[in-house]
Amino acid sequence: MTIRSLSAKTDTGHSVQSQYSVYRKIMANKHVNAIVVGAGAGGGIVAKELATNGLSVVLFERGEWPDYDEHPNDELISQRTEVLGSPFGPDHIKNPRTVTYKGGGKQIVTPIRGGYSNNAACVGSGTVSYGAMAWRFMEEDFKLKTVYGHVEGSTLEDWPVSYEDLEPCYEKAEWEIGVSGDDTQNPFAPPRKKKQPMPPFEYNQEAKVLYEASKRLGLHPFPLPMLRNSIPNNGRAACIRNRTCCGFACPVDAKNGTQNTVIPIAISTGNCELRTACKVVEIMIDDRGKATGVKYFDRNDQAQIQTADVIVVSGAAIETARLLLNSKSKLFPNGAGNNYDWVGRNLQGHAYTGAYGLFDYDILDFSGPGATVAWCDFNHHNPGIIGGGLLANEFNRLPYLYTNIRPPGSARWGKGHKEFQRSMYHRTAQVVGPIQEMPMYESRVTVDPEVKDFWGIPVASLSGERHRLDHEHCKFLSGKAEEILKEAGAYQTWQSVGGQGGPSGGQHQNGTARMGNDKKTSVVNKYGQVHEIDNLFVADGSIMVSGGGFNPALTIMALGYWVGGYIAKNFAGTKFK
Amino acid sequence: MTTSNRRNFIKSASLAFGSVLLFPSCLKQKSGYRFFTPEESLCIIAVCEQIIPKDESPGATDAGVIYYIDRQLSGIFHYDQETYRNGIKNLQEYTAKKHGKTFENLIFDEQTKLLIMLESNQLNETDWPQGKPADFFNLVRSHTMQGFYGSPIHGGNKDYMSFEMLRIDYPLVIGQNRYRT
Amino acid sequence: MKLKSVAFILLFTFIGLILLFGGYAQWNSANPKKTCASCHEISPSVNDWQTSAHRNIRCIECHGTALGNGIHSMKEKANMVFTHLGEKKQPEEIRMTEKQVLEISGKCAKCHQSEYAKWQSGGHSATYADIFMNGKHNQEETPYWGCLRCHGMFYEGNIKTLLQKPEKADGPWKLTDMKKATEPTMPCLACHTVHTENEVLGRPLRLDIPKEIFYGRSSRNPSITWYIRADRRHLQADKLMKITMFDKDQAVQVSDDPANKLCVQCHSPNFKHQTGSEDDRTPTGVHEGISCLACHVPHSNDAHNSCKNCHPGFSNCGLDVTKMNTTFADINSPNNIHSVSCSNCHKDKVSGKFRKK
Repeated sequence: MTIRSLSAKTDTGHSVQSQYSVYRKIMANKHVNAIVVGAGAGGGIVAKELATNGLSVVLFERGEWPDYDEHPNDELISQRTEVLGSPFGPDHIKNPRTVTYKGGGKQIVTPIRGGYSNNAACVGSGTVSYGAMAWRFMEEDFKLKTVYGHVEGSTLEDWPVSYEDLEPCYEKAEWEIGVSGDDTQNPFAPPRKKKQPMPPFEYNQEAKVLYEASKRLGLHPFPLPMLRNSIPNNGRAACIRNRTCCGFACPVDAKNGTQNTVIPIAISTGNCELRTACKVVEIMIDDRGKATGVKYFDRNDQAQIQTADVIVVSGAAIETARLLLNSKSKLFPNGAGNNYDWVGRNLQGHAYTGAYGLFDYDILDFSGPGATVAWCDFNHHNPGIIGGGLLANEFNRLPYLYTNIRPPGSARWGKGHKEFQRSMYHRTAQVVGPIQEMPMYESRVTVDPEVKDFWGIPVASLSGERHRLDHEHCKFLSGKAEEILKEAGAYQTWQSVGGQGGPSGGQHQNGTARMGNDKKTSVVNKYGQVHEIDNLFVADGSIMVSGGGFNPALTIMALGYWVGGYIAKNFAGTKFK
Repeated sequence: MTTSNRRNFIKSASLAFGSVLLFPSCLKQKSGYRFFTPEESLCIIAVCEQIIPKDESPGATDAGVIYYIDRQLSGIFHYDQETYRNGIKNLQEYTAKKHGKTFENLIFDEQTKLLIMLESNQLNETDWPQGKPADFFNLVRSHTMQGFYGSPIHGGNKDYMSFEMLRIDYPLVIGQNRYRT
Repeated sequence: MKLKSVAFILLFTFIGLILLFGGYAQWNSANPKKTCASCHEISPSVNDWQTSAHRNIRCIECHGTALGNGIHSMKEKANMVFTHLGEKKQPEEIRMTEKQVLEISGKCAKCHQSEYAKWQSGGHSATYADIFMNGKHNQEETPYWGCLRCHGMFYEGNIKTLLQKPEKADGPWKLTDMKKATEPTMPCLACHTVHTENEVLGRPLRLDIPKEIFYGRSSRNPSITWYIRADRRHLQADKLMKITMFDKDQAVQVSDDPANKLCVQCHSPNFKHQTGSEDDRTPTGVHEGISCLACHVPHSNDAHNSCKNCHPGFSNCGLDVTKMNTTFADINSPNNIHSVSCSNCHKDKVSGKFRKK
């Protein structure tokens, strides 16, 4: 049979690395119940849900287990400021992309050059080094079209699922991954059944000042919810308030991600096999329109095949779209699930916008993570604005990043620049937030016809531009941020308004395989199941219809539980119904 | 074994022994830099010192920013090599034409004025034949900032002097964080 | 005829080998400026050595591995040549392996016998088995990569490759390479570096001089350094940042002794820099402002005989301090010697004459 001959080369005995050197022999490429592509925020959770329900799972990850010993505290090699490399992947030489800016030509970019929209490529992916804000979307975020109406030039749409549907999944994510916070202080918080498992972080000095100021303005500040241990939890330490946090791995493992929670659980069931350094390049779909397996390159760059009953793709918006588009078959000549040209469309992210304030005393105490207070007053129902965004004080600004933070008209170099850096480094506060972007049909991911990666696979190509309202909304939110800083006593403030140019994307990438009830205007149904391919699912940020005015990590985790739970419940034998 | 063979053997053996002594000199490099020539390095050192001058805290020269740039240009930033070569050439030719000196021999204020012109693209094609002056200047500026404020592990920021200037603790002092599960 | 030729060849080879080995041994022991340092990568290290306290000691005395005369050293040397010609490593990537570091630390003992013996007797000679195979400790605090920052800083690998997680939660932890069990985790090179400018005979600590007690050595000892595992380099103690310590909200006076800055890197406080938190031992109370080395003898860290350096001369009480209710006399005392103050015992107001400075 075809499968047997193609899988003649078995994996060369590389062991699954669990937390310590407990080695297990890799199983040969025999057929399994489920494949999960991508061990990130969504994929790790789906793997765990399936494995704990008795399915045999192979979890593919193109990166490695994160090695905390490499590049600790090195700002130039951090996942946030990727000047000299990305500590958590991907390899910057083997994985190019192309970007087409409006009015300009196409450029080949690598993770260390702008425009790449890198997330990470390791077990746990972005959840190893993220800022770890843990936001539930508000109820309105799932039905923006109903609340705000049609937006000219945008593909803004309601989600086919509601907040009520996802609420149990949010709760699971909060308790199984581990969230600290206190929603009772946030009057805009969506309804919840169970509180967050860990108490909130105490405010740092900057947050205390901003808290008082915003209360005077009539706003409602509250402690930022975080996917971070505020007390010892799950056998790991509480946060030590390390100065270098966002973009770095945690030295005490207090930052909760899928790599230190659900993925080890999945592996310990004995049903899940994690294969690192394996790059899935194509989903094989047979002539009847059923997904049969995946083609991948293993650690030694040998092509291999793995078959399964169900395939779940969780590669984050850009790589998921690329994988689907590269998976052409007889019934889907333009890519899996792409018969109506919606795969890769509506690439969104979050434009960050806010304001800075200079104080005449050392307002920053540089305790990490830096962001501790937040406001949800501007997420919805702002007059004349569709959606909005949260505001929070920002993660610690490290020295090189700070060299570009200057009031308008300031010296960019020379004595003045250095003097500012020296005297104002501890005295610059920042309030910033992600804006709800208006999805654009033309902001998209395609595969490049010419450029190929190290393994000969066409790379992702980003193109398009933002909606013009993004910049308007950013101006609004920046204005609100500046008000808070002024009230707090900053003697000079200035805005930093985002939302221009494009295409969007970035670390909060989402939207490229959106959910919907109509197969002609969406890629997956409300359960993440690709229309017309019953056993192919997507469970990551790609299925989000809109990005919310919130960091998406917790929502992606909730979607992981949602899709994973659906598959586990409905899986029966080898025929997926 | 014949006499001639023996002679050859002795000849080749002594050559072999002798050549070992030559090893050090074959491997000796010309300058201390991997990419820059000594003349180019003087120019870039002067530009970096303009970008981050020495005042009450050390400047770019003290921090060894040139070693950061040199190391990265011969490694991960190899695609910027042409910009640097052309930029230095253009700069030196322009200063020779206008002032009869090399850039590093101008007085401090003259250098500052010239760099301001570069930054605002005030030099036309005859004065700056390859590329745009602002591209070159902005590249050197961002590299200087990286070299000065980044980790010393990359070649610059000698002995963490910029972190000392910023009063941030380095190395990070991380208490053990005792806890009981 | 043939036999004579063979004899000649053998004789030549024999003489050649003697010359080769002799030359090799001579090369190893010669002034490095003429030999190794004629290649520029190693000349910074050689220049540092020439101005260091060890300038009259040849490389081979400390660097016992590639610079020895045995088969082991020739294998290392050959390996270096292959790497140099083949892999094209950059100078900053050339590091000593942990094995080499430990060999060098062993050689320190040849001359610095007293210091070595003191180190062996104290807590800083803890081995990998002591630190990492303690089941009770590992159960309470899961080992993570940050452990290696302070003990095991030269280990090449990470915590996953060092330890094997046991089958049961409480028992027994094993190192993946049990030969490491007796290796020290904090060898000499954790706190010292040889290749740095220094006087040949450093000035010893004079504990009968008040300034030395209260403010520690004011003279720089450049060879006291901290090995930063994250950056894989040494940094001189006086270039380390002086951390502002707080006792609740009050800033605490801390000695200017560079050694203090070194100690606090491992014996570190929490993020608020609170004295006495986590592993911190910054003295407050009656001992505020005193250098660590005023009481703790370097290398052994033994403090048992240190009271008489100051007391009763500087004691405000005139009593025998070794018998007072502190952790010095009894480890279970509620008054930690690092933070004990007059008001711990004298709940009522203490007269101005005896108030702590």
